[in-house]
Amino acid sequence: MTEALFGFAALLTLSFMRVPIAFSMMIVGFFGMAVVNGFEGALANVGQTAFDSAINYELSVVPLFVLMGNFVTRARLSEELYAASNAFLGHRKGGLAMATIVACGGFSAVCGSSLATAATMAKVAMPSMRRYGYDDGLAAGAIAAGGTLGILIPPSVLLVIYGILTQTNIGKLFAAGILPGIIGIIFYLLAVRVMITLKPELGPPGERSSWAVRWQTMRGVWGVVALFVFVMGGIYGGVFSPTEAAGIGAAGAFFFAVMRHTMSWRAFYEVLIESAATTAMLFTVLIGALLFANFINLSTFPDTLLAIAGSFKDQPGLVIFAILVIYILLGCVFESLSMILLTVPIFFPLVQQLGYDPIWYGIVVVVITEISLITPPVGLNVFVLRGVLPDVRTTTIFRGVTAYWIADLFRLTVIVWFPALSLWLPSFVR
Amino acid sequence: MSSISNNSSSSKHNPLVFWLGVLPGRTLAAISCLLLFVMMALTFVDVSGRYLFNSPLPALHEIISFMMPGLIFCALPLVCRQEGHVTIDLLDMFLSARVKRWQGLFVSVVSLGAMSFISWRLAEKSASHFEFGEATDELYLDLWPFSTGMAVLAAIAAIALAANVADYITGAKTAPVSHEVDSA
Repeated sequence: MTEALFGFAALLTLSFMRVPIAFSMMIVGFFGMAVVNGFEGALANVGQTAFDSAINYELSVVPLFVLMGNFVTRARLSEELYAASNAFLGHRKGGLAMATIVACGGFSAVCGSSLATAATMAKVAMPSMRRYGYDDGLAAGAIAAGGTLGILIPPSVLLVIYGILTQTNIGKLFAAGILPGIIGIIFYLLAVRVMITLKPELGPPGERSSWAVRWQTMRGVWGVVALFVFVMGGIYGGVFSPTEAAGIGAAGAFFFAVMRHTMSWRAFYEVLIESAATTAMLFTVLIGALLFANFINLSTFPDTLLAIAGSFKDQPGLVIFAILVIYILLGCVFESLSMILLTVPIFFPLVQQLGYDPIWYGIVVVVITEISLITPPVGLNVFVLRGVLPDVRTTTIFRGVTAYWIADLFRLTVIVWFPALSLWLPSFVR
Repeated sequence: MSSISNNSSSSKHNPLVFWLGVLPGRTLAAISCLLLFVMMALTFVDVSGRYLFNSPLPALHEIISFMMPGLIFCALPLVCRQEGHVTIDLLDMFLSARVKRWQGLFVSVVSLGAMSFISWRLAEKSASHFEFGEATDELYLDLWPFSTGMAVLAAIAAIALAANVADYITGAKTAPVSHEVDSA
């Protein structure tokens, strides 16, 4: 127990000193194993873990989904999505912000990354919201919050990693993300509505589009719909494995980008190198986290935790609540994958022992991660916007995102309270 | 998503840093890109082959799983050189420029240590693969060339980190870079 607590303290110290989280976990994991289990075993474990995590067919789904997301971003499918949702919602008060959120949700259906969704939608949605005199906070907040849907609405890189980590069916996890994602959209729309009611000057209405125009713009989104139906339909129907679906999705997104002439050789190379670099970074974190988890599992920490949780057997809700609070605190500091890799191996057995469904827990973890993406001080989605919209101040975005953040807390409560919302759709997956 | 690209300026580097720390990273990153694209194409061909022509590619799972380390470890030197790993940079705003340079040096030295360690352990792993003649399940390929390759690439990544150490000492780098990097 003590060695594990020392381990966590050392990990936090090293990470705050700015040592890459992957290396911090590796170093602490190795020394921890050496203390608990002897030097020889720890040495052997490092080589084996690094080798095994790199050579793994299941994990090849990760780079392929990353690649798909980057190709989709280049294919500029985001423009049609925004045009369509704008044609339907733009004439309402705050309608452009609502349209932004719906378009983010649509983009999330073909892109498994929250940062990519936020960055892409910012380029499309921000100029038009500015043209109509939208408040910068409301506008940028809508993009930052809407962007977080990227990791919940399938495909999702995080759900893939959770699935592999806990041996949970990825197709079912993907299906489970859909309803909570839609609930997320609805709650965000309500948040806009509330803000506009309180302060109408934040988001004046745009122009009303005729039904002819609306149908016209709907036809523009066929690319997104086709890609989503093909990739997800393939997984749900049991036609493709997740890796195959990711490969096909990436190829499909690539063809779209080529057909739409948005893919120069240079852009092509940039997409590949960005995806490869992301993959390398992800796997370094993965190897580090596995080493750290090996150390924690060798210590008495998991048993102690299980014993503590066991004493709350009659009130499992309290344990879940405690876990949620820990996640929200960790989310203030940690990047999403590190947070998931660090916590899931520890909490998953606990949650399982209390009789909760692994699929439901996966969705809860991802929704909390979404919240962490817009929580100060780190809130990476907000910082991505700072990069894309250099003239909007970070504090303005954090202020604007507050209402969406509150909406997220409501959504989290609903999803924790009603597991059926996450578990109904997966029951249809073969 | 990451903001890493392959075209950062290299004009002010000293030749040793460039030839050992920068150039290999870029060249290997190109190989990594190629592997990724081929992986995508193979999956696509395999699935279309299976459903359209009823003839999938043989042993594709194994081929892809053995392309993975190439994809990952070939991109690693570039990521290391550009300080593209995920870090917690919360305290940056409280640090003076002088401290930041020391911090950069410290982080690079620690990272160099960790990377060299990984490379060493992979080399040991490959020695045991060689000794016991371990092979893959389907194609009966020897495992040791793969683990050796991973060890060598990790060593190149370590050299890239050593180049960063050198840059902090000479003052070519003065503060750790902040990327908006996240896996989600």
